[in-house]
Amino acid sequence: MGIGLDVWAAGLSELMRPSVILFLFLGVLIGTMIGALPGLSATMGIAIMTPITFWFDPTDGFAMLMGLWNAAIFAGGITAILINTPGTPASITQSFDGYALYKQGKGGLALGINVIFSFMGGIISTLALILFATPIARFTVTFNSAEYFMLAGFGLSMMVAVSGGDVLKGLILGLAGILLSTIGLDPILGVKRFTFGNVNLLAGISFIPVMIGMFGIGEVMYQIFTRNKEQEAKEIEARKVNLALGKVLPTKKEMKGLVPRGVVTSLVATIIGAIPAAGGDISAVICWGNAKKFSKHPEEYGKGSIEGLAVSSAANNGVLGGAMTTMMTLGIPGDAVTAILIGSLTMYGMQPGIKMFTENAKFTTQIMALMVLANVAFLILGLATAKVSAKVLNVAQPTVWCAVCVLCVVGAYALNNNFFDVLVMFAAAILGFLFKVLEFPTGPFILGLLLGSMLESNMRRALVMSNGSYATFVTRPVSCVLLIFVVITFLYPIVKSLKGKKNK
Amino acid sequence: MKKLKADAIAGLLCMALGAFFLIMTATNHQLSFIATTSDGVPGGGFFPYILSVLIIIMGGALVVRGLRQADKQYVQWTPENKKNLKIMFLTVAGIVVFLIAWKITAPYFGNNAFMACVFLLEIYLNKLFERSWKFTLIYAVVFTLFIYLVFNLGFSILFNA
Repeated sequence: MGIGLDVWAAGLSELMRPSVILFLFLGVLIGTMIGALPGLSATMGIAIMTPITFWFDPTDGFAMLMGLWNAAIFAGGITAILINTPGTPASITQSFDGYALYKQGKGGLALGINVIFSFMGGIISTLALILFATPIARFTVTFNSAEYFMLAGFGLSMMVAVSGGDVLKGLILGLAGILLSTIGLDPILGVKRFTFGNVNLLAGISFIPVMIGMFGIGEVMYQIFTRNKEQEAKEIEARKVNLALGKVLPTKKEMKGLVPRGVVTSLVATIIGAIPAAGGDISAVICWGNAKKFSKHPEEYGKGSIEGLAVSSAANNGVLGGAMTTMMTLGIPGDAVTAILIGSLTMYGMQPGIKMFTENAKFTTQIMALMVLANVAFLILGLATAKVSAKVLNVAQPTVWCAVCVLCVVGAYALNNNFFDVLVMFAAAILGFLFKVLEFPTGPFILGLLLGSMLESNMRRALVMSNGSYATFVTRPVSCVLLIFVVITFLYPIVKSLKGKKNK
Repeated sequence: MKKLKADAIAGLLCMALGAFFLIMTATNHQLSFIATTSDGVPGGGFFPYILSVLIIIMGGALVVRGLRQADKQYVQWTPENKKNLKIMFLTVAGIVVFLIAWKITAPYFGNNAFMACVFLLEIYLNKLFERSWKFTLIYAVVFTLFIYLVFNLGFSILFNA
């Protein structure tokens, strides 16, 4: 099994359609604006745009989503550099060095470095996706229900351990997500569960309206609640200050010194991206911190280091290929965006996992190629528009909030022309807001809701096949190894906390 | 909101959620812990039973932890925060009224009702965020037109809730 050259050729030939290129560039354009506007995240953008793409041909739809996602992560660095406010959480470390460079009159160079090394991170991680996705998918051929159950459990345990500092709260929300995923028809016996006579609940709670609500209106509610007008006024002042940007492209000598670090960072970021829940923010912090440790000039980090900015830029876009690898081969989302993409694939009638490399191999090649094209597109657009990108920032947050509120309603309704989905979206928005205020990590809830069905159906199917013997989960080697990982993942924070108390 | 209250209240809410699902599972005879069809194989109630009990236990742990950590705060209440909370509630209320108005008027006026509701919601939200009347009206007209052109004409979606 594997993706043959004929499949690649067939997939790539379809990408040559003008509509695909048009939607890709449209996605890059929208993504750049979303990333460059503080308050709008890549997740929010993807959540709102996904229902709209269902009205397109799947290739066109994914072209738009891939363009949007890749560009939004890169564009988050623009605000980090120009007004010291990360456009997305993944751009946090870009503000450390980027803003300092801008203040030194090297804003153009900082924007150029951001584009070039975001491109490098994106391309290297996509190449890793292309190279390693097929062997990983081939390995999963031997998986049966026991392995898939453990895999879902592992994904959830990682999410709980990595996504937030509070393991107890993460665990509660993860379990609540799985519990809500049991609403609807029982996957094995077909019994109605918690439907309260509502036919809309027979198929369970729709995942995408939940994502739209949590990352759309829920996020807007949180931003209104935490609005700081004093800080806003400072940012407006910062936007008015148009310092000279200077040259955009680094010199050959500068590039020579930066490329090796960029390559290593991209590879590390790809691995981090493949871990469920470890997104661009975690990758950027880890890579920037370690690059500083191993740098010849660590004292320059945080004070306008080109190297620091290059590492940060490669680190946040480098996670995307890794996240896609886990998502496409195992069906486990690497971050919130890939969780929505799983929902999107499901709506198109595709199931992430081995079938993506057999039945839907052509579409898989197209997704991979679209990732490459999206990187090329934002490289071109980013370099060409680096000096005018600051103009995008002149949009006030309330303007964005007003649009997001209506777009969330429209997006949720457009999924199935169903008012019930709008109500689900609205309920999720309230929940999302409460989770944020009460410091509950949303990741485990989302993953629980998404993987709950996979977890339950595979566990029960495995028990049916083993005549009710739980030994099936430890006698199968892969399942046993995954079980050990799950146990370690849960025990590690507890042991760490106990050790910390002992040291005190 | 002190952490003492917040964590304890959040824990209690979690316990209530778990208890609700536990009662719903226990009172539905179809949701058995073990399937009646094959020996030892979990039934439709297996996951809900285990998950709801675990949520109750962990919710309890959160309550206990909340009671022990009395010194931390989630939100530092300031006059600005209180005003923000009011605006946030008014935003949510506006959306609720919008959804109700859309649902009630759609059977009579079809898609036009939705467009009118969008227009009015945009005016309401913009004024709530203290934008000028000129900006508000231009924004509402342009945005409603955008929704109409893209979703109605472009994707042929009719918002007949």
